Amino acid sequence: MRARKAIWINGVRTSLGINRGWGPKTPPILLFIAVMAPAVVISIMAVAAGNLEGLPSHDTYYEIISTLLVIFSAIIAPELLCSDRRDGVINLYLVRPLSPTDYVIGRWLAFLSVTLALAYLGQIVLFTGFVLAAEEPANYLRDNWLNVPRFLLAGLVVAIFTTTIPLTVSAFTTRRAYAAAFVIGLFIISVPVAGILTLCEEGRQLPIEPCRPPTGESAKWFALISLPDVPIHVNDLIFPEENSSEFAQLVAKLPSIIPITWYLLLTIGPGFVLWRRYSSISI
Amino acid sequence: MAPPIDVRSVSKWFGNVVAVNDVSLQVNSGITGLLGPNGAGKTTLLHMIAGLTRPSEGEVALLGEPVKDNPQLYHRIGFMSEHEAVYGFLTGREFVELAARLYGLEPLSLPVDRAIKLVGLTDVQNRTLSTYSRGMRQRMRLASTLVHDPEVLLLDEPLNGTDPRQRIEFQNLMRKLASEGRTILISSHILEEVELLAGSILLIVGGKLAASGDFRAIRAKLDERPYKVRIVCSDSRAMAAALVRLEAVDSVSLDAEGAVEMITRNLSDLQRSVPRLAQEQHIRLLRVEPLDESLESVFSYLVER
Repeated sequence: MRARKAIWINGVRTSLGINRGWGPKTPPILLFIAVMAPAVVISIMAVAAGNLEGLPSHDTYYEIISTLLVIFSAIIAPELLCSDRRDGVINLYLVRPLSPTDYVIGRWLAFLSVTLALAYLGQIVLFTGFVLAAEEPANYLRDNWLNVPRFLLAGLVVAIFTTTIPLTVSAFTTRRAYAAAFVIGLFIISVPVAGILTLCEEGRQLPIEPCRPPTGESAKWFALISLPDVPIHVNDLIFPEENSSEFAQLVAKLPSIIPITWYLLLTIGPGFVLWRRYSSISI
Repeated sequence: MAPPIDVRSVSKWFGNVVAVNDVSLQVNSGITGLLGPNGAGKTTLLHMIAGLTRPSEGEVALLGEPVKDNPQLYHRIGFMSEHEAVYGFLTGREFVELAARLYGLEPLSLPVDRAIKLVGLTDVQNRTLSTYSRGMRQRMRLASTLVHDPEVLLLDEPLNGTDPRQRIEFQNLMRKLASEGRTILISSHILEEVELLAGSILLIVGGKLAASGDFRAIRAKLDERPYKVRIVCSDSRAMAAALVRLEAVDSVSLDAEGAVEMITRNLSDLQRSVPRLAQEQHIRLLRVEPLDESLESVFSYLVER
């Protein structure tokens, strides 16, 4: 257990660049600022306005930061796996009383912890801001306490997704830049591809002309292609508020089990590949 | 009782390349040298013994247990790889502490202090590894290998990057550890390095076990080996005629450039005779050089035997 904890601690330190130069420290610091800024701004606006009308809520916050978390994961995840293999440091772990599975799970948990902490921190700030902004904070707490388990669960959904895919990609190369570019490219490309296949043709703004996507009725399926939105579709099932984005509107037409299954496929699948890649590792 | 290291008919191939070919060996307590030229398969064999690489065929057992997929066995063995696998941003002490944590040791301070003291780096333990010399990093890596007091030590080219003083300290440390009953297997491509340290050797050439056993017996075979020596002098023909009469010389010829080439089995006798002959014949010696002193030629000789 102590050995597994050591891998986890080392992974957290590596992710955050602790005890290292400014190079490895900069991405997590920038991400912390980027993730906290919307939460702080929304909270200040709520407190200043004295009400929550028209302000983004907990579900919208995850929509805002999920892309940031993907970029962060794409940059940091390779640091956890690629460098160990390239520099041969993985020997340090493989010749200790640990299995390769212990190593890869330790790395995954470390990265998940960091991502989760960042996701929750913003939500806590947001929730605190909303409580302070409410006319009757006690009433707000009584009426909205369910938002806490909701954002905890939704944060886990986002963090698992943004942790697993970049780590899996990193398991296939020793070059950090390749892994980061591949993950960012994959996520960026998936959005316009989904858009081309699902967005309505010209004239859809006219009330008399209904939306006619090029893929017709199948558009709701093609909307699932947009990778950054995959955890958001699951979160839309967790939060009661309706998501007004076009992909979300399309996916909402599908049975709830479909976005959940798609999410599980895109996390368990790469997770299995990651595990297989390391379980049979040879130096 | 099973030997601490037991390798049975092990082979390893990567695609069409056979790195290790049907090697069987046993290693008992004390220091054993795993010798062979670069590319002979030493590291692959050591990795298989350490459980880092799965053999294509055959079995490896350490301390009576199969090594592959048996991580608990690493509580009893220590492995140090050839390559400098360190986190340069950690201090030497943090690095050894990380190893101690990975072994599940608790409390940390006592074994970490002991291991760092063993390698003589107590004074610099709080400096980051990136500021260490290569030799210092090697020693701190050795400390991280020794931190859990292993029964079996597997060291791949441990003397790389160390200076002569550090080599002597390393040899003393290994002798001390061996005297405590440990089994130590050290790979090296430098014959003299192992000669000073190991009582017995395993000689790997071209992926095969070419020789094994007591170092002195193998060394004796090496001493019988014919050496080819080239002499450039002011009068090659006179020198060749004089050399032919020596008992130590097997054959003499002149090469294309007119220099004397000879084969001898008694190098020390030749070293004494050549200056004397040159003086007697009034021949000026310009150059005396061995033609096949490389380790590969030594190994090839043993393999052919």
